[in-house]
Amino acid sequence: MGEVIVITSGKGGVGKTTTSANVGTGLAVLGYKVVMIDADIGLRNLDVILGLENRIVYDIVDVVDGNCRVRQALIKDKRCQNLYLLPAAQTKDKSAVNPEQMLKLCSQLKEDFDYILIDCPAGIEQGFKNATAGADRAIVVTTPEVSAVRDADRIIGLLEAEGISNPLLVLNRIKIDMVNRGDMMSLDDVTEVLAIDVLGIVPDDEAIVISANKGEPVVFDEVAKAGQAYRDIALRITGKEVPLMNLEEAKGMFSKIKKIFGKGS
Amino acid sequence: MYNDETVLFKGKKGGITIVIDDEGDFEDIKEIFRNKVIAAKKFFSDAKTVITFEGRMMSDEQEESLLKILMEESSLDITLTKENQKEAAKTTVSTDNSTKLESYKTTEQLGKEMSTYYYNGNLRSGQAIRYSGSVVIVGDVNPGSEVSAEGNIIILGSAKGKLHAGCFGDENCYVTALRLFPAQLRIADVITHIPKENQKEVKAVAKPLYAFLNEGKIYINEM
Repeated sequence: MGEVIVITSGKGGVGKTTTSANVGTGLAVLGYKVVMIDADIGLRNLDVILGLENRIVYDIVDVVDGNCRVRQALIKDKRCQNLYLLPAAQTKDKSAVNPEQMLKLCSQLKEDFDYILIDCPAGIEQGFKNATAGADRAIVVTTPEVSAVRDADRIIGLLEAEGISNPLLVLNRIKIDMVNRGDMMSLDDVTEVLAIDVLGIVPDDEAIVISANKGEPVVFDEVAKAGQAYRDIALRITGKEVPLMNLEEAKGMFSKIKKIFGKGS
Repeated sequence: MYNDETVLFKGKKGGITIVIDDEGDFEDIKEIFRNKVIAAKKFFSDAKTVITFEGRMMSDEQEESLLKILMEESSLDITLTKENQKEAAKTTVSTDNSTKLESYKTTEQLGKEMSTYYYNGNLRSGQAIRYSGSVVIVGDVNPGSEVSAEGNIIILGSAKGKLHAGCFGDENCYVTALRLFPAQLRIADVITHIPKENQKEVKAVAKPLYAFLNEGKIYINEM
């Protein structure tokens, strides 16, 4: 019996879809059978990030409307076994699916997959209600900005109201230099407000932009720090204990020397 | 001598003001009042409210008889009454009565006690507690959340949301928190927020604080 995990944030643009794509791929690389559901009907992105856009035949609306079987709508990722995508419809809107249909769909997929990841749309309306309807667990993605943290806090409250307690936090796009200078919220600052367990921290990384443009999840990138961060997150989801990444190491040789001479931050 | 304005209901922030004509026999006024209450049932839809009398000097018994009518004829649950005379009425007030100006009849006098609501857990952005009594929160009140209480607010955690104690006008209410750093703080009708230049300073205070109202200003002290 699989587990349904919704990836949500409240605010848009904090990295829900990127997190969904990478965590999903990361879990599949570890050997688990994974399906990702794009619940952002009308504004689908997950297929683009995964580079599967041109293979879409049926979508989630076709499935819930009974135009096709679930099997037919699932797109198999060729890069790694066990990874499937159920894309959103682009020509419909959030009202095309209702929470009961999502719940049914999730329980159906649970029988065949280890992990069902739902990429939640931004906002707290119908789309959010659909995405969370069938979820067992939730991952809340935020960036170290007050507005994103505020929205994440709201989302945690709404998740609790939906009966999804103890969501896990992914703090995305940290710039450690700015944190050290005191110009950016640190992980401690964020957890002080949100008071939930941390699943992982992801540094701000150019590799993310490059990978998204190429349609190739950064989790495949052995060099990029962000890739390592997502691999760690995937491991933690499976229950393994992995220490949080030390972002300070990301610095180059030069700053290390500066540090020795007491000039580095 | 009686007209439409003999008894007037005015909805005001935090309660209802009843303006009663100074002239005329009280028994007549009572009947007019009863008819008005019945006619204006919708006006009294709020479950809990503050009633203020204005315009006419009345004895405690007279006032209570009017409140009784109000409770009988409407679904209103009266928790607090506040007496407030108009300038015109004041001239006829004896010194003994003038001390009663602005005095409160507590709920106990009306045979009811203000209750306390306990909330365990964090109050998150978008969540709100509104209660006709005091509120105790065991947890944090995060930015974007709201607590308004007819009585006091006590927070065993950090308070960063919007807080309103004495939301029906009780100026004796207070707010206290282990870390008091609210976005906005209201006690009765007074609104304040921490000035930008003092925010760092207040944030650094890692001690329980106590906010109260004194002569129209909110003060915050260490406990």
